[in-house]
Amino acid sequence: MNKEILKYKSSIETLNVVGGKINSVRYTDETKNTVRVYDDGKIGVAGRLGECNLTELETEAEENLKTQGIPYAFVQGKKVQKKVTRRRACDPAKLLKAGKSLMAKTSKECQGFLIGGKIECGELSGEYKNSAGSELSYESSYFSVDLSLKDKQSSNIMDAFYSAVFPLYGKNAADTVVSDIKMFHDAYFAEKKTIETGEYNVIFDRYDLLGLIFNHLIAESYVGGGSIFGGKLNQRVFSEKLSVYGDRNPSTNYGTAFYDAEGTVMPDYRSPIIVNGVLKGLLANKNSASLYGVPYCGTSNAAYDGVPSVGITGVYVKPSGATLAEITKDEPAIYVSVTSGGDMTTDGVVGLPVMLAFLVKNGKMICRVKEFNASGNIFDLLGKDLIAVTADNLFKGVGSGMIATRMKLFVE
Amino acid sequence: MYRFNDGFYSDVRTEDRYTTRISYVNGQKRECKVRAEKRAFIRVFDGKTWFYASTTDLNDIQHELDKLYANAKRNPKIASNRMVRRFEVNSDVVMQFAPISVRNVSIAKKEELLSDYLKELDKFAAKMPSGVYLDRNSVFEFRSSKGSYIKYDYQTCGFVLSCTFLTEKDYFMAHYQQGETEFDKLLGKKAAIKREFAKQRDYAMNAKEIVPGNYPVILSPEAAGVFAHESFGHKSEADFMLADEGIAKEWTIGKTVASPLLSIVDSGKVKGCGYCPYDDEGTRARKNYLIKNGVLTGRLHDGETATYLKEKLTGNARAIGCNYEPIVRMTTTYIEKGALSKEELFAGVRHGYYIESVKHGSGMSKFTIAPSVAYEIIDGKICDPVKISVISGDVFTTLGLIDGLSDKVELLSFVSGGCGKMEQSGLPVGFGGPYVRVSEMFVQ
Repeated sequence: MNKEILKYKSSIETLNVVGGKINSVRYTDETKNTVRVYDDGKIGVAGRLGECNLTELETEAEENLKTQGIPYAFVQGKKVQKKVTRRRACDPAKLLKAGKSLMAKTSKECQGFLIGGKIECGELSGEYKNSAGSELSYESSYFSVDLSLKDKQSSNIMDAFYSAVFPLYGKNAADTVVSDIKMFHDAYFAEKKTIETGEYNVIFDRYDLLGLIFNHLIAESYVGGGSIFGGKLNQRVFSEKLSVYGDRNPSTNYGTAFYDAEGTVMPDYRSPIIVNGVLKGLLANKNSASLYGVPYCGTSNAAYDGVPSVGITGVYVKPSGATLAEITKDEPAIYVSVTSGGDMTTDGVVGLPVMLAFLVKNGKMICRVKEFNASGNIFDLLGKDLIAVTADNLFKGVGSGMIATRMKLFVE
Repeated sequence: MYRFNDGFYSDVRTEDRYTTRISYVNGQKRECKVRAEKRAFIRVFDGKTWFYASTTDLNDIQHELDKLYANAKRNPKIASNRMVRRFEVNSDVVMQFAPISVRNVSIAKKEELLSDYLKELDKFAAKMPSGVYLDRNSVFEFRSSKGSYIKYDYQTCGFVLSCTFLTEKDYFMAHYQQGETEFDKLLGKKAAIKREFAKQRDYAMNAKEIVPGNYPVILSPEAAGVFAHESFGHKSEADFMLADEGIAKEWTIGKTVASPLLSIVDSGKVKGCGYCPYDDEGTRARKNYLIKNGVLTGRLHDGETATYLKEKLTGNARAIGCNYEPIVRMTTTYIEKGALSKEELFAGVRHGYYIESVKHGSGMSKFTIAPSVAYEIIDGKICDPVKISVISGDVFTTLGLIDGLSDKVELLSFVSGGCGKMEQSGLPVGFGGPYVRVSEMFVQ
């Protein structure tokens, strides 16, 4: 009988921001334990919150294996022994003071916005062991801000968002948050420009367009005919400038384990999904990869008491070379900041109602433009019309690059 | 039970949550999980700042409470704080699901239900037939330093079935969901499942393209419920008005915001997935009109927002679980019925579209709804199925264009999904309404 033991601990302190001030502090400590056993093509799982007796948990998992009869293709991975640690992001005892100071400064610099949301400091650790001798462990930490920005004159619930994650809280992180939101604020309140219906260079945050395709990358959707990528594994689907990875690399995705839920450690801690425009991987666990004969690239996810499912904890998009300043030097671009309820048809046609967008010139946000609808086919937007995956971001607190493409905008 | 210190307002909320999840994908059992979790959420208020802690060790609550007291500042005048004064003191036990608890239904019976219904999908030669059975039974207890003690239970159960219908050039993801509060009400649904998947297969095979433009639209109770929830319900959550005097003035009670036909209600008293007889601050549920006859009549509150806006508590402080603080959320939100029969409502449309079911919706100043199944209406009759990617419009313009409501309300209850707000997603909410006719919406 093969066995896996997982442990996860988190200690998170969260500040709630209302109207630019901290109105609450939340402390959450959690410990989760998992034992999985595999035998005769079946899996048994048991999980418990809090400290617990692992021997009892193992007995429960064995019992579940016998009684529940859940088929699962167990694939023994390579024996890996590795530990990754990083220094603490923030002293929890100082977070409240730091958060108050950060919000006071940001509100002072950005007087047109009412700021709400969360400031968080998390310390996470985990262990994975299996009966083949693999032993993996990590200690990780992050400081994050996840804020809504509301124009004091608008009747909307909120008008814009700002999110950033840092490996460490200090003066640099605080200055970055303030200067990012100040840049956003100044462009927001500059005189709004009208644009005409037509084709434009358009800049997106990585999740806006890629978020539309993730469901189509799930192995079950792919083999079941419910994916726009059906039959295209190992074929070129997008521009060779585009490479997309599931990201467990601690240098770019803070606060995550470097291994997946089944103890798989990928080269460079990243799961290759699209490499130079070629569809190389799908979202699968060891069972679905084996069942459907698709590649397994470390994209297993699991609840602490559940059979492994699939998922990625972050996305890394490899820069293709150009910077925002370079691609907006000769022709300004439109940065799509907030969309509302966009969708993609089964043949890949994307419709995005854009609520907030900005004109970008020489790599800088200049001013808002009027609301519009953006449209295009995903295979063109990330294919022949893809301009670049930039090395930089409009916001310094957001580590990843941005996706620039050519797109038709319809202005009412 | 707990030692609440003087000089602070404090409360403790505990949940004993039992859940089952059984799933099958393409004939293979994927999960059969029973989870039993106990958690507590502890709050301390010193008149200026809230301090919260969450724990999974119910023996450790007093220790967590004492740690929060150590972080807060003792306030001898806390009892006269405006928000603290507003908090209700209730003493009540509302245990209505104990005799029919899903905890007492065997796993074998739950598995059998799902397996039986999945067999209906096999008759359609569809790809990747999948199903999931879900249930939850929770027992909540709430104690406050003002003297409240409340105990109540909550229950949902149901199943979601799905498959993919392949056409010559396309595919369609078909779904069916049944949510109830009693296991026995899930029985005997084979005919409904068969009928629904036959309809969706017909839709997949025959749906035609439309010419985008402005048309009259009739929303089903499901689509009307999504519209009420997304386009107006979220705007009624008063936390977005905190510290924003400008917006509070703009959202003045008594302002005309919609057609005089329209009344929108939110109520935690409705039995279903949005049932919440007491909110997570111990406030008793009540029927709250958000819009009555087209006029802004109320909004949804927790203690903080009600105090800020000098309005009454509404019973809408809710958290997705005892690992989060309560924030202002909806419960069951619905449009009240009108005067027309369904036939009379449809008869008023010469050429338009009927939105039967919805994939997703969202709403800020504009709203968008992505239909799943929709039909063309010609001369008052439902005709061919049509492919519509989204219907959209300006929220307030559209609220003013409602020109007919049918005379029966259907309230929907769900077992999967839920409402998301900030970091808290998957909150069970109910919604619904009558059939709603809008004289013009942009359809594409």
